[in-house]
Amino acid sequence: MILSRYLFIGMLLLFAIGFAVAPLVLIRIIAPRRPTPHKGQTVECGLETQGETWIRFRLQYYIFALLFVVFDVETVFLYPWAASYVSLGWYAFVEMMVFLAMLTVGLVYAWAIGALKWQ
Amino acid sequence: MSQDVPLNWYLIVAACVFVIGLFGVMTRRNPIAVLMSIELMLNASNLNILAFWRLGTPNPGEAPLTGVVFTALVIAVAAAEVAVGIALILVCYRVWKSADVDRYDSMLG
Amino acid sequence: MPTVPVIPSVWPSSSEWFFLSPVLLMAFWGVLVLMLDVLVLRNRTLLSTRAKWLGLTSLVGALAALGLAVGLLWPGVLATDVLSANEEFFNGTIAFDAASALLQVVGIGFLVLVIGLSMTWVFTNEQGEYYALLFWSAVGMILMIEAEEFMTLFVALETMTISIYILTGLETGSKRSSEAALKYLIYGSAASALFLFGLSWVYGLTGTTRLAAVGRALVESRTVEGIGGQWTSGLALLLVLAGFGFKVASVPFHQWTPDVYEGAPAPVTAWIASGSKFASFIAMIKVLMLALGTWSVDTGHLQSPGWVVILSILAAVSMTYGNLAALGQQNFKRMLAYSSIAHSGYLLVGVVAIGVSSQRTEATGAVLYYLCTYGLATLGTFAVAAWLAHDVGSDQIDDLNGLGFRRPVPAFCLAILLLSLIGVPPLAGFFGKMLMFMEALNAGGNGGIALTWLVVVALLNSVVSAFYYVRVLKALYLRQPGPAIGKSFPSGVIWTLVIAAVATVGFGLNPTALLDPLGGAGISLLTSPEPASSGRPVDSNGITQSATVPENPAQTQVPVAPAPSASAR
Repeated sequence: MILSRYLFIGMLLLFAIGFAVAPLVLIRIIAPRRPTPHKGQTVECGLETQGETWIRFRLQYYIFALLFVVFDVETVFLYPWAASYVSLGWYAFVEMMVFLAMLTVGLVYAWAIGALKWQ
Repeated sequence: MSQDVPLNWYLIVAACVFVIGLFGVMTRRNPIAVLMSIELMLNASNLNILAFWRLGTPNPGEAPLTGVVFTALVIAVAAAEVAVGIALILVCYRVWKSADVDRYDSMLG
Repeated sequence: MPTVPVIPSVWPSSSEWFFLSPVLLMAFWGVLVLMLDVLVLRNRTLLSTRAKWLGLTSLVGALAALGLAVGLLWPGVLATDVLSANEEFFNGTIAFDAASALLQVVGIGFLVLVIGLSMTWVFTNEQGEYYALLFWSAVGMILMIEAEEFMTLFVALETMTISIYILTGLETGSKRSSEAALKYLIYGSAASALFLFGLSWVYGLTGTTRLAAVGRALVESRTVEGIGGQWTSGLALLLVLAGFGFKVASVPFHQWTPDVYEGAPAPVTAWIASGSKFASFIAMIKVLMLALGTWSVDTGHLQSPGWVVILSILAAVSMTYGNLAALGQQNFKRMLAYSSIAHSGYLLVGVVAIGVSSQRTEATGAVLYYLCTYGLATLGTFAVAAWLAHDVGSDQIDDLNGLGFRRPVPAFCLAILLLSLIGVPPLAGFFGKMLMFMEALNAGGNGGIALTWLVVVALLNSVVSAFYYVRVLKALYLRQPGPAIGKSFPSGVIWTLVIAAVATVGFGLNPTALLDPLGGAGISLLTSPEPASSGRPVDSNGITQSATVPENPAQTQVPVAPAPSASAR
């Protein structure tokens, strides 16, 4: 039976959904509903909310995020290399250093054009 | 092996994801959404490749890790594509003050 | 379940790296130029000084790479080494044979001309990035030509296109440039995704990513049928064709072409129209012939016509659409963009001819000849477009009025190039078209698929194309000079024009000078690399493929037996 191994995942899924939905339903049934303006306010860790939720992020933020994504994803090549580092030997080590040097060039570039400076 | 999910199931999921992505590319107006759809299409291919690698019949003499290497390369390429894409969207957003591909119409076609 | 594999420690030898030296030099030179700009020149010198120095540095690097590439062609350098045309070179991911050696010279030659053209004007503040990306796109281009394997092909293709996306958007202060870049990126990455999905299916059906091994698996119908039904082969073929169709700007995937050609800085447009198209067509020929040769006709498991029929239709539609749309254009760049779509149509006729012709290598030689001469002619015409855009500040054909009287030399060169694009004998464009169409007819004569209708459509289209090219000629020689014509031609444009025109006339008068080496390149381009003989654990499936051009499936129909299904596992 193919599904038997996945039965557990399906049950977990149902249970998780039930766990989230049940309190909502219970509250709907049991709790009294008397909304007041004060209760309807947004709660932000007990503090007064400041400004709008839909604020604009600075462009700088996206540039940081982009840099992060690129460098982050390049590490996908480092994992397999690191996992079989011993059997791969020197050649792979040198190649990986060249690869890292290329990434460093990218970082130097980002630093030199001032992309890393939070203005 | 017989306990495993059959290959066809993966392929069907991948095909569905791919079609969702394709639909998104053709209908969405927000360039970010279009990029996300393209990402879906690329990941559908990744799913395909990995499923074929794991469950398909390899060619005799084929290197053992073809599928995984292919996927790793595709992930890296996709990240580069998205980074460039978002950078270009930011440039266009600065120029047009709008994130709608239909508004970018300084040329005829 | 695949066990944890023992990685065979087969590292490329130093001579393998030596053969890649032009590519490596260009990749390194890109870094050098970029670092020179951001660490040394930027913020210290004026933009014009910076542009001059970076341009010169780039030109030196490109010429050095060209020198290396020519040096590799030198008799004895390549022939003495056993590495050429087998599966051992970089573990069979890259072919370095006569074709790669020769075609990379052409590609780097285009790069030199484009850099020369870019040095003429300062159209971007990002000078370092501009030249670096030019180099890196050239690296992608050449690796794409040399790729023997899907992963390498895909990464090389993306290296080229992603670099070109950015190049398209680099023109400072140009709204159209950034818009064109975004459109190019969106269409382009969608096409790449389609292409990749197709590749994933081809990989799944054959279990390998090497072009030659895919070809062998398909010939022996060792495809894994039953996964997802019978139609998957046809779907995979369509998706791969869609990806290539985008890159070469053939009709259903052409929407980006006019906008990108118009919006990109003119030297970049020249680069897209010459280099990118050149590399894409060669990669297309390699994939279709080496890997998907069996699918050229429907052998029963495609559930769709083979690529010969599909590409014939695309070719006919591309030619007709491109030419008809170009007729109405007043904008010089847009006219050239539509004409580029039309030329993709002619080139697709050539690709189809390779698929059906009884003389495949001659047909390949003809397509390569056309690609080279068309690339040169395009570079020349876009040099004029660049001059119009940057020195005159216009894109209109009318602004060329009377150029023949005021600037006889550039106007004459442009006239030659346009006549060559129409296909007037004895210019190179004529011979390219004639050879390709002859090969397409050749197949019909030998009992293969009749392509007569396609050749007739192509010839009619050549006549239509004459109308819009002649309109430019008329502007050059029959109209009164306009006010804009007073602008002088910078030396970069003159050089490009003269080189392109001389090559067009020279290769037109003596086509064999280019055809013979390219025909030789065609042989090695279509030769599947032999499986490694011994020592290296690369591809040992025991099928010995002799180093000859594979049989033409269009003429010798391979009977296809149903393959064992995957469920047997």
